[in-house]
Parts: sequence; C-alpha cells; structure tokens
Amino acid sequence: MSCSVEEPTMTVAEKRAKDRAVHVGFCCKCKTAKSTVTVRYAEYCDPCFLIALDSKFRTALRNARPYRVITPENVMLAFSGGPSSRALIHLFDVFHSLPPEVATNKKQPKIYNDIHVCHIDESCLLEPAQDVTSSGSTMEQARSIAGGYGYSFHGVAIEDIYDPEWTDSRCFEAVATLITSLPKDQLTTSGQAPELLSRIIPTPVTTASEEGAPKLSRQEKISKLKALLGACTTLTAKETVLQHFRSSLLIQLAKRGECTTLALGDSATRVAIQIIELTAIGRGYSLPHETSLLSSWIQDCKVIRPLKDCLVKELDTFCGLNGLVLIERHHAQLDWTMKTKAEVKSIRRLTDEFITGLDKEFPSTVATVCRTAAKLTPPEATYGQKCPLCHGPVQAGVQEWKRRITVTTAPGELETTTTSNSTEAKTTEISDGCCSSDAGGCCSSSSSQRPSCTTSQTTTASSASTPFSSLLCYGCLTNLRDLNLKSMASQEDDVSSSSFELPPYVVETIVHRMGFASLDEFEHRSDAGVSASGTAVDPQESLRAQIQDFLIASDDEDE
Amino acid sequence: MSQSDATLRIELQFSGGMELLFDNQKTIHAKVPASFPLDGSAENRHAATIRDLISWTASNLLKERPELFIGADGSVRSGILVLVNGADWELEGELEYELEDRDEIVFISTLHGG
Repeated sequence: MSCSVEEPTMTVAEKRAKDRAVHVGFCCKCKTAKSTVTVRYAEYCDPCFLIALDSKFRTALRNARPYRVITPENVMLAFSGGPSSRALIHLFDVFHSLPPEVATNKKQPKIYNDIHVCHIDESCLLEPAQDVTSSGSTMEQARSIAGGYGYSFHGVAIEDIYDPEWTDSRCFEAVATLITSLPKDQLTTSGQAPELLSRIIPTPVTTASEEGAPKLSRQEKISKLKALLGACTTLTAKETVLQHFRSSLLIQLAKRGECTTLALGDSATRVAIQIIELTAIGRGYSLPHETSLLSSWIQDCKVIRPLKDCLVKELDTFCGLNGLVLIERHHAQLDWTMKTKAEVKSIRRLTDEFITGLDKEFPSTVATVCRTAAKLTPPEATYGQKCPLCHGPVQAGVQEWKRRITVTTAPGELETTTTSNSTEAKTTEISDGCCSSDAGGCCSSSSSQRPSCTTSQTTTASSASTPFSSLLCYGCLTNLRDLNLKSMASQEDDVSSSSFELPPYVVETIVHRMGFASLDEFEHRSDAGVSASGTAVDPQESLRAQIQDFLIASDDEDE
Repeated sequence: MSQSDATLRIELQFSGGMELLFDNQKTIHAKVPASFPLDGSAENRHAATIRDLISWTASNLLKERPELFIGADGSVRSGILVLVNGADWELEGELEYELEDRDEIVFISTLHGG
C-alpha cells in the first residue's frame, strides 16, 4: 500500500482551517468542548490548551537539555514580574512536581536539582519616583511568589550594578569615567566623534568596611545609575544599557545561587521582537546568543529560553487561567513613556509595534521570524575577548568597519563620502570612526595623545587613560554614539568634570582585557612599568591594548 | 432593548499594564448604553457591540493616552488581548460581538518588556 496519494498536500493553515470547518466552535483537540482560546489557526478549550502549552514547554526543555544527562543541575529562573516569567515559574513547578508513583521510582533522575528564583528590582527607575523602602519595591512581591512554590529566592536591585560586590571577583572596587580624546571646544567643530577612553578610578578604600555596611548608600547608587541614563540622549540607548546591566546581574545571581543554568522567560513574541531590534541596533553578531533556545556563551552558566515557542498571548492566557498573580508596576517600559507624555519612541518600542501589528494580520509572523533566526549559528569568538559593556562576543576590526560604512564630514571639507549604509548614512556628524578616519586629522591627535597618555600614567593609576571604544563590540560602539559627549571629561580635564561613571563590572572587564589579573595588578603595573612602555607588559593582550592605534594602521596596510 | 436609556451591566477588567491607563483600576463595573449610536434616532440604532464598547470606554473611562488603547479602524491597539466571558474574542465575532447584560470583558496588554 502506498501512502494516500489522493490526499492533496495542504499547508498547516489549510489543514487547520479544514479541521475548523468540521468542528466549528469546538476545541481542535477534544472536539467536544466549546473552544475558548485561539492560538494562531487553532482553537482550544481551556483544559486542552493547558495540556498543549505544557507539552510545548516540556519539548523545549528537553531540547535545551537532553533527558539522558544524568547529573542534575541547579536552575535559576529569572523573574521580572510579568506574565511570561510568571508562567515560567509555574510551568517549571508543574514540570518538577512528579506524581507520587513516579517520584518514588529512583530510576527516574531529576532533570533539575534545585530551582531558584531571582528578581531584579527596578522600582527606583519607575515614575513617579517612589520611596525605595516603601511597598513600591517589587522585591517583596517577588519573594512571596517564589516562596509560594518553596523555591529559594535571590533578589537584587538594579542600582546594585554600581556595587563592587556584583562583579566576577565580587569586590572590584573601581568605577570608570569616559573621556574623549578631543578637548571640548573641538568636539563640535571637528565633525567627528572622538575616540572614547576610560579612566579608572578606584573607589576610595574606606577602612574597616564591616559586613553589611555597604560602601555606597542606596541613594548614591541610584543617583549614579540615573546620571548614566541621563547621559544617554535617546530612549534606545537607555533601554539597551539597562538591558546589559540586567543581564550582567542575572548572570551574577545565577552564579551565586550555584546554578549552572539560567532560564529566561522570553516568549516567541519577545524573541521575534528582539531579533528585529537587535539587528536594527547593530547587535547582529551576538544575536544568536541572545535569542537562541540554549546559549553556552557565558562561562559556567548556560542560558535557556524554554518559552521560546510560546506566543505571549498563550502565556497571558495561561496566567489568566491559572489565576497567577503578577507583580504590578513592573512595566517600567510603559511608565517611561508616560512620564515624558510626549511620544517617545525607541527602536525596541517601534519594533514591538511593528511585530505585533503585523502579527495581527498575519498570525505566522512571529513564528516565521523566530524560525528564520534559529538557523543562525553563534560566532566563533573567545569568551575572554568579551565586550566590557554587554559581555557579548567582539568581532575583530569593528572600529575600522564602522569608519568605512559611516559618512563623515571633515572640517573645512565638503562631504567626504565613503560607502554609506542606509541606516548609517544619517550619522554624518556623530561617527565613532575616530583615529583611523580620513585625512589623518584625528590620527595625528591620537598619536599626539600617546605621550600625554603615558605622562599621565606615570603619575597615578587613577588618572591614566585606558582604552574603551576599542574594546567594545559593534553594537555597544554604535549605541554609545548616543551618549552625550558634553557630559564626559576630555583628556585635559579633571576627572570630576565628568558627569557619570561606568559600573565596576565594566571596569573589571576592561582591566582583564588589558591583560591584568586584578585591579591591584593593574594599579601596580601602571604605576611602575609605563616608562618602559611595551616591554614591561606581559601577555599579548595588554600589548595589543597599548599599541591599539598602530594595529589598526597595519590593518590598512594589509589591503 | 430599543429604549434609549436602557443600559447593560458590563464588567470590564484590565491587566498587563492596561490598568495604568484607567487610573490603576483593575475592574470597572460599567453601565453601558444598550444601543448605539447615542445620537441616532431610535430606528437607526443597533444593539451595542464590542466596537461600540471600545469607543465608549475610550471616551468615558480612559484616563490617559488613548493611542495606547485604541488602534486604527476603531479596534483596540494590536497587542491587546480581549476576552469575552473568558473566551478569546476572535471566537465571538471580534468587533461585531453583541454585548449582553452581565458580560465580562477582559483587556490584557501584551506589550510588556521582559
């Protein structure tokens, strides 16, 4: 018998439409109950919908981690308070609570050993400003929800990103300011964005810092965070920077909870929006890591997205059907817009509208975008070379590439048109191209900056310039174009003229990328060994950082 | 039903951020006119549908930012989930669903971060 030839090939949509025609108004699974939920082309009744969603979740979890793996791991669930991550906790609970007859069967290994829940409290950023100690904090709500499941809870406030404790070494006591390679008065006339350098400022070591006595008060941390966000001139930049802080904290939370897996509640809708958004803001290189079901980019901590196949609509319905309590006022996004009252758009919000708008007319949009991007393979990059800001992979020659695709106007010249990418074309005045840019105007300034750099390094480490934009990935480099240059100090200025600081975790990576194992080593080296220039420096990496400018030049010669 | 001052008792629920547009009220028990348009003569009127409910809600209950609630063609903005008595409104005829007394209409915004 051959297979049924008379059956014409039908698309899934057509098949479902046909099924629907037979059982109009009834659940497509049991076909007996009246349907109450529609998901794309399928209609379900409530019980069948819950079963379908649960099996979807199990499939995703199995794909993220094969059942054959025997050693159970700990998993950290990232809980924002919204419906997706709320559903994530509940689904994990259902998944993990085995019926008694199976639980006693020792042959069935547990997939996950301990389940932890973590939450980042962002209430300090909500408007209208709330007293952080009052009930405005989302932390207690999150704690009680996690407690309801008997999971251990870990919480951190977003402003703790400025705490020296929230770094890999857990006591990285330094922040950094950004300085521009050009004096302030030249910023507007040169028509070019200057190279951004960082200046590492060790946090004054307050003696006898007792356990439980933080060196920075909460208010100080909040004002530092707000200062940084205030220096971002666009909502897109703000959101992106916050997102990096969030991921950094989540990873730290997972590591501290001794979890080898971090589970995020990203829904299919969210992932589809992210795919488009990340592409638009220049983060295509790290996109596979930020959207895949399983990413092993971060050392010692896998990131999984088990809800990647579930539409946000399904998760909302799931929360509603199970009567799951959400945290109110976690919608920082909405509040930001309401604060300004004017129609402020960011790339994320525009993408949001684009995808949801399209998905209304064409219900396959989200799935199509996700499935297309799922084919992307992560780039070959070494974790040690991660970007200081986002900890994502860094592609070589980023600055050079950026210079070539950006139109720059040199002073006293007509438009020097290099190849223009349509998205980059409008960035006429604010390119980050820097020293390798045309006519050598900036090149000379950056070469003249070398001596000044070394002289300042001989004094104290705190006033030494360390590279910054040369360490960034393309996405962060592009994003930082929206930083207000006037808020930064220039080379000659005093450090204090800078209005914001970069958090310790960024500085830690900068120091590591320069080849120093710790802050102490960095201070020691830059105090002592600078006069000997390259020779005093050990591994390749720091050498590379020292001669960064010349490396780009050699790239040029190669072609 | 054709009486002009007849009203329907409708329970409106807002969640997922939607409540912020309605002065943080999660549930509103509204008395909605049973027939629309309000200024039409008796014979031109038709029984209230969800479409009427949306525009009525927007002009009577909405506190701020109508563009976050109402979209083009008099429907809600894309990304807002509407449930009629617990069932997806797509199953109930969407905008053309005729309201009945004691209906429960839920609006859930799916436009949230994280």
